[in-house]
Amino acid sequence: MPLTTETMVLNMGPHHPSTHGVLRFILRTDGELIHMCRPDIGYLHRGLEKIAEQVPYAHFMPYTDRLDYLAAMNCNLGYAITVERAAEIEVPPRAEYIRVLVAELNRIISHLVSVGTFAMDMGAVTPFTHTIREREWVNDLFEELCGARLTYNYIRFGGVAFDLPQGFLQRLNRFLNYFEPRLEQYNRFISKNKIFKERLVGVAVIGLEQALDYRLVGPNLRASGIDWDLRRDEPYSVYEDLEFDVPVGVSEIGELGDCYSRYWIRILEMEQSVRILRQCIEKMPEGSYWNRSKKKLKVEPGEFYVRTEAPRGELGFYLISKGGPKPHRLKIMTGSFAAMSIVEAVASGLMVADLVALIASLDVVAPEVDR
Amino acid sequence: MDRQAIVERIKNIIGEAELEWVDDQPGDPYLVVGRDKLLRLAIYLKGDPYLAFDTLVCLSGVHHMGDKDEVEVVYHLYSLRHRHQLTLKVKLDRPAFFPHFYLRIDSVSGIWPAAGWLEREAYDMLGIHFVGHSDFRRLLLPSDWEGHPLQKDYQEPAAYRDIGTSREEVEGIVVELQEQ
Amino acid sequence: MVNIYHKMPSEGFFGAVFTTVDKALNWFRLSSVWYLLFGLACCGIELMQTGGPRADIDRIGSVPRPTPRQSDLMIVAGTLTYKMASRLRLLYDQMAEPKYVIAMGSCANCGGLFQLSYSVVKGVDKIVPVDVYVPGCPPRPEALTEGILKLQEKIRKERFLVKGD
Repeated sequence: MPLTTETMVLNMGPHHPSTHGVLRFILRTDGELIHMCRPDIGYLHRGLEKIAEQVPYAHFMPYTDRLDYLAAMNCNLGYAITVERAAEIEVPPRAEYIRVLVAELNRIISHLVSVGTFAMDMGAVTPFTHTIREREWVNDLFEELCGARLTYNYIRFGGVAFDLPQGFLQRLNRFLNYFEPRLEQYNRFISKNKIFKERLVGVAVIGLEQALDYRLVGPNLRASGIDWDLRRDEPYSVYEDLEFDVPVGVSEIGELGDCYSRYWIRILEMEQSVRILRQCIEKMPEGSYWNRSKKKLKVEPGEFYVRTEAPRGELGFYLISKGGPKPHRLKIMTGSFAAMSIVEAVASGLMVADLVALIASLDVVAPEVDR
Repeated sequence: MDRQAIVERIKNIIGEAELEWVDDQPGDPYLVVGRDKLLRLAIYLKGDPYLAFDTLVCLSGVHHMGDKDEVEVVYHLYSLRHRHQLTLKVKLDRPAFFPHFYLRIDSVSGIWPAAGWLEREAYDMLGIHFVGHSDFRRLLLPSDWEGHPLQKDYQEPAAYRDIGTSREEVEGIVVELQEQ
Repeated sequence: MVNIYHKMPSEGFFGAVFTTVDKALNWFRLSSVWYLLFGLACCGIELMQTGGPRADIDRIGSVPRPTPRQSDLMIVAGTLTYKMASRLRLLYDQMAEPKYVIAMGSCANCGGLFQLSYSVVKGVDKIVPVDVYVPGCPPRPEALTEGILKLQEKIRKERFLVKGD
């Protein structure tokens, strides 16, 4: 007699230790096998786009910090570049190099949190304590630079808010010398770990066509084999003068587009960021750090769409201005939003534990999804 | 292909009616399309080998309440193969009577699946109905929320399910911020 | 079942016994305040860093628990939206007495910098009663540690058996 089973509806609710923030998934499962997974978002929807229509341009800068709090400098930078293009403000070279320096440093610590929480979701709690110990070094550096540990509010239209303190570049150099052997250490105990590889290789493969269809960006897109990085292909700030490689997924370990390649790309990107930082330290020019003008900010009426490369992918700001002191409409398009929308299409046929691996490998943070 | 060549090719395929290329202000130029031509144009934009717009980068709704009360739906498209981009706009009128009946437009989620969630968000924020969407409901706000917040004449409710919406001690500061 | 709370005398020989029992019970309870991981937004990252290697709150007895059934303290870290508010109340109701709430960060205290937003609850104390408010955006790990130490002071002064003042 055949064994009859029933499907059950499970709620992986907004409060869950493995989802990255307040995200909710409604699962229909047959035991451990998922038939349907539907994400339900909006538990951190704070209405940033409506707030942008009610405050002047410069007052919106702290809100962009809270947009993606793990990569606050990159969000600040994206917004600043949008308004500078709209208002035609020049940025001095020292400020450009400082901006790239803080943006790449922020990319390193954002990927550290991603890697650490990924290992924690797989059950290994120790690597997480190692990665947040590394974060403490960089939090100290940022604190002496701009006074804050997490939400910096550092970049201004036309430059940055404060100049580099005395001896900052030496301390940054000391951090980089300390950090590079640590990456080797992470490779030894996480990336080349047999259990880690068996859990991630071949799981939740996202093919090239599907990645393009759902507008995946950033490391998720590069892990599926598409060689596209805004820092190299549509360069902004001073990325043209810096040398770096763009890691693209290859199917050395596992398949192209599985969870392991998404994780491995982030480790390689951290190495490249260290390389960019060393070049910035060498090439830092002298000069003024903020092109501050006495006149009021005047933005031309028109529409501007600017995209920059944040750690979670392409961050796009669509600004519509009618010439007044406040924007008429600001639409923010983030990488995690697209990554959440692909979960429904990819998750059927996975086990529940693989779903946790998929969400962790896509590196989703809740405020980027909900804004 | 540069922008003029793209627009010329589109005009050759679809015809000149209901297409308007706006280029005269500072900022990005865009192509205004009539509501009925949108779906045909989208199919050509994705399928044509010289245009090949394979990614929908952004879909936004904008509400203008000047001399005309209208809602625009803006599509930013990009082609990874040819490295060119295009901005499309569709303008919808929003009359005072039955506004939800007039704010209807075809859904492009069958052509670019990324539009699935983006269209749900546009409905949630602005009240635009996308005809032909497979799973059409609110995305970010709770399902029993009333109103569409990004409309310019949106009134905040006084309470949601018995939780009050304001805090008396900071009322003064909020009024100051809005008056600046 | 007889409710013995607040019934015992506070003077004389029995008073001395029961006040000492009260003080001992409070000392045991404040030395191991286990908190529920309720990180909603940016303050959640600072909560993780506070449990991390440098500003370690494990040394004062607080370990993170993922479930409300096993925790004494709920640290609401981050912005609360209307959609999430019913879940906050549900989790608070699932905790066992005696339970405490710390509102961490300005979004949990009063709505923070999102006063102009339509979907943010302006302060967690509209939903649950709060014992300690920790200001900051986000508060440093040292500030959160001081908040937990202040909560321990509050627990030290509670009276269960002896008639309270």
